[in-house]
Amino acid sequence: MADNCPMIEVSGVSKFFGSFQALDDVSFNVADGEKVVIIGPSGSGKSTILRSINRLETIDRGRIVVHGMDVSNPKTDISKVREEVGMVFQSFNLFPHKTVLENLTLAQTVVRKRSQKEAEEIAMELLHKVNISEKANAYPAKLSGGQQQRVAIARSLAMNPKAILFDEPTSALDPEMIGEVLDVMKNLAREGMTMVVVTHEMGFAREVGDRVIFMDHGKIVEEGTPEHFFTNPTHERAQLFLNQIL
Amino acid sequence: MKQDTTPYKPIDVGDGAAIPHRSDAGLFTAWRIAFFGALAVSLYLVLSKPDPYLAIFKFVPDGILVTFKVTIGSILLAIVIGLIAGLGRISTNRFINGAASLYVEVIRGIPLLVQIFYIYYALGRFVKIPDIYSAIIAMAVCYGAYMGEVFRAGIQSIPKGQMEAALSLGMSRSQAMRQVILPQAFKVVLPPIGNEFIALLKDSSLVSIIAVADLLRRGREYASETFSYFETYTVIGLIYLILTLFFSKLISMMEERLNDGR
Ligand SMILES: Nc1ncnc2c1ncn2[C@@H]1O[C@H](COP(=O)(O)OP(=O)(O)O)[C@@H](O)[C@H]1O
Ligand SMILES: [Mg+2]
Repeated sequence: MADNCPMIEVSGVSKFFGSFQALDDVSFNVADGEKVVIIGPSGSGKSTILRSINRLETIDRGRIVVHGMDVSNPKTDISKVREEVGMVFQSFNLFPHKTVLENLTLAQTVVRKRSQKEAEEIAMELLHKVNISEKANAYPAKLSGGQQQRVAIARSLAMNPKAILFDEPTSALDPEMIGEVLDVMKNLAREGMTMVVVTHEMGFAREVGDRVIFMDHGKIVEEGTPEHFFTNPTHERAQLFLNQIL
Repeated sequence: MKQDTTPYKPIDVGDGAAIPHRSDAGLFTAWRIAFFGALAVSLYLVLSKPDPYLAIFKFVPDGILVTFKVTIGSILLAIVIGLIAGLGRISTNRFINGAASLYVEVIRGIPLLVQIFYIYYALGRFVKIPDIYSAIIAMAVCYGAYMGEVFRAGIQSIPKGQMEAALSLGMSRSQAMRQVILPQAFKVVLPPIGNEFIALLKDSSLVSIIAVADLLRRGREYASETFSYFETYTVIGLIYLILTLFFSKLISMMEERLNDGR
């Protein structure tokens, strides 16, 4: 857990769904405070690698170490890892039977063992931060997609994570709501949060990313700075992908 | 735009009486005709032929009370058994899963009447408990298996993302189940539990076979003393009909209030 260790260390990871290989020898590191953007066509394994980092998927080969904890070791208490690594989903996954405020306080009280009062104070502060404090007592169904995703980000922040994984956080949103969610993420980036972001928002990748990872067919095909990646990608498949999406 | 704010899929596990829904006009009309018709026929019989109909109506209320006791006791116990069986059926532990599946398969493969006999005499060999408790246990063991499937379907109808979101916040599987999944699943299973309640109310008549003085048993006693079999079973049938229709209406009204809640 020394300071010079990477926050997230992925080495030689392969993953099979039955006989289908979803990840093929994937390796990369994420340093403390670094923002890594993962892009690639649909089905290339982006979600799978992200979900392997907090063991929502188990891997078949390789090693993943998060903040000194070996995720790939079945004996590791995975809850400890998940307390430190937040996750934001494409489909928000807010708890529909709980108010916005309760969505933020639940894990704080159950997992972090904070008092109800302390948890609510932290929750309100974060709701202010993502600009949605006026909806604290509303149920998620009453919120727009953009609002729900901002609440989901705040819910994840309430655990004081050391890193947050974003899996296409704006892909389910109407175009006019994408900006408000990206703004919240840019603020987080500015504050120094370690972030791994799967996205198709190339503007965001350029502006915020320290590094871009391009995946195809379960492999990392190209990796580099946004300038390098967007101006002269070396691999043909990366070029093709960029031509399609830009 | 796939912004799924109401993730509940309706689940279909029904073997009760038809529970009328506000939007189902045909069923609703049928309910009215049946319910008020049964009341009118009852009233007509009592007024036009007090002997024996008034006497029968006076003889059976004790039995109605027992029928209620058996039904309510059984449904409550069956819900507890069903929750355990349902959780067992989705468990990743092979032993627990196997035990729960075996329970469900065995129970569903044996007629309720045979189970009632069996549990009554099996229990009788080891412990001496009042007949009504044997009856409630037998009914609950049987309905627990069906209820287990209701709970399993209810839990599985909650989108996977809910469990994943809870886990990714650091909650354990059981914390996530208790705090996130079950509260949502309960809302989904309430309608099928209503169906099970109606089915149980009717099936509770089977316990009359083991000396429990329920509605049907009281009717049989009266009939065998007076030999007015036709009249007695007419009344018994009418009373069951009125009860099931009454409760199915009550349940559908409760469901509507629940849905209007949000
Ligand atoms: N639970 C699963 N079972 C079987 N195949 C899966 C499962 N999850 C993902 N896959 C397959 O693995 C591949 C990679 O999926 P995913 O990581 O979700 O891709 P991406 O996020 O890049 O679109 C896809 O071909 C997908 O069909
Ligand atoms: Mg994906």
